[in-house]
Amino acid sequence: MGEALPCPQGETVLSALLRSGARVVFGCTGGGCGVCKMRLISGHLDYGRYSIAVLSAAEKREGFFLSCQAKPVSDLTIQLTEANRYRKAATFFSQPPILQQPGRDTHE
Amino acid sequence: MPFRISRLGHVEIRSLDLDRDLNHYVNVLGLQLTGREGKTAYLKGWDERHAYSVCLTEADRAGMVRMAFRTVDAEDLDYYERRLQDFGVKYELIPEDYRRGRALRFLAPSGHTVELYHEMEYTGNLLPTVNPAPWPEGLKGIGVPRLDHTLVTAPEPHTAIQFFQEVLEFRASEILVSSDGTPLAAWLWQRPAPHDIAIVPGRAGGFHHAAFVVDSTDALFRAADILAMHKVRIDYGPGRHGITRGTTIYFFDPSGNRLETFGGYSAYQMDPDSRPITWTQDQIAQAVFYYAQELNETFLSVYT
Repeated sequence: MGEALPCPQGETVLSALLRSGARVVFGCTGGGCGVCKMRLISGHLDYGRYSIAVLSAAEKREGFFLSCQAKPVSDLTIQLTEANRYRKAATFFSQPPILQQPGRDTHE
Repeated sequence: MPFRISRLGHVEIRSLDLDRDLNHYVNVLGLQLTGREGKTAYLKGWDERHAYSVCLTEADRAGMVRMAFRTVDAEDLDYYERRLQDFGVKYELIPEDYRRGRALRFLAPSGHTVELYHEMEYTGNLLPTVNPAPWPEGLKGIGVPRLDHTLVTAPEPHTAIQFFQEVLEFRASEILVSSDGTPLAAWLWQRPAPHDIAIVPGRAGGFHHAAFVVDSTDALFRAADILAMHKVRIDYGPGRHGITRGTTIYFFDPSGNRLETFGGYSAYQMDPDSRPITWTQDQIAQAVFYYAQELNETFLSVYT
């Protein structure tokens, strides 16, 4: 089990995580790139506005959400994903072929 | 070989919420709103002389719809049409678009929709043509004068680079090569500036950024101040690229599209005899972020 964090109403999940001092990888903070995608284990969210190219309806049904847009409407339990847990900045240039952008391609 | 493309004429960028994002483009970036039709708004920098350089279109996703290059002369469109035919590139003839004349539209191997056009309504910039001041008063936000370039991603960058060089006759100012000499990324020009378009590895059709001119170091830091005042997410900068020598701030629009203020004032001038500069793969970090000397975790993973 992880740690409990306060997240006031109106604050995004990502913002609450960062404010707590957590280090997670995130991207554009506009709902456009999908890098901050996380998984909801329990609870309810307002998903906010996001690109369906990086969060498909199927993924949403599986519990995924974009943490830069989503705001809690109840207590939540969430799980980070590979995309925001860990990333090497130089991978694209050091190991071609190219890694896929998380949540892209497979869901379009 | 003559130059037949005068510049990147306009880009079309998707917005998740047009009214919200227009506030960013008009009041923070400081573009002029020149028209709105349906779900698309048309904008331009104060020093641009044609009707628009940015189309912002509301959609269910972020990213780039198309990039359009303006030819030097009307006849250059005919030249490029023959060239597309010679190379067997499928294209569409677009008879007209908003305040714009005919265009050739085709898909580049990078997965991007590219257009070539010549005619667009001439509006003049915001200054008189007789005895003008150096800049207009009353600009909002950063008040960028012009669109500069775009950078896009391609799954096989060498193929896309070759297409822009061979079919569209762009020249490379700088090339980043792998240890076996394969181009991984290239900065391509026809206008006498380091690049009109650049291509790096990534998803087909990916939009890394569109860049707007800031024309001095004063303007660079003022731009950073304004972005921070408006709580815009700054991705990197103010800083400097090793490639092109240009100064930079990377930041995101509210839909997550990356934009840049690009300081071409610190870059070199192109000459018809300019030959490509090579960067080796092991120096990629300093090639991109000259001062930081390391890539941030977003440069090659975050784009729309």
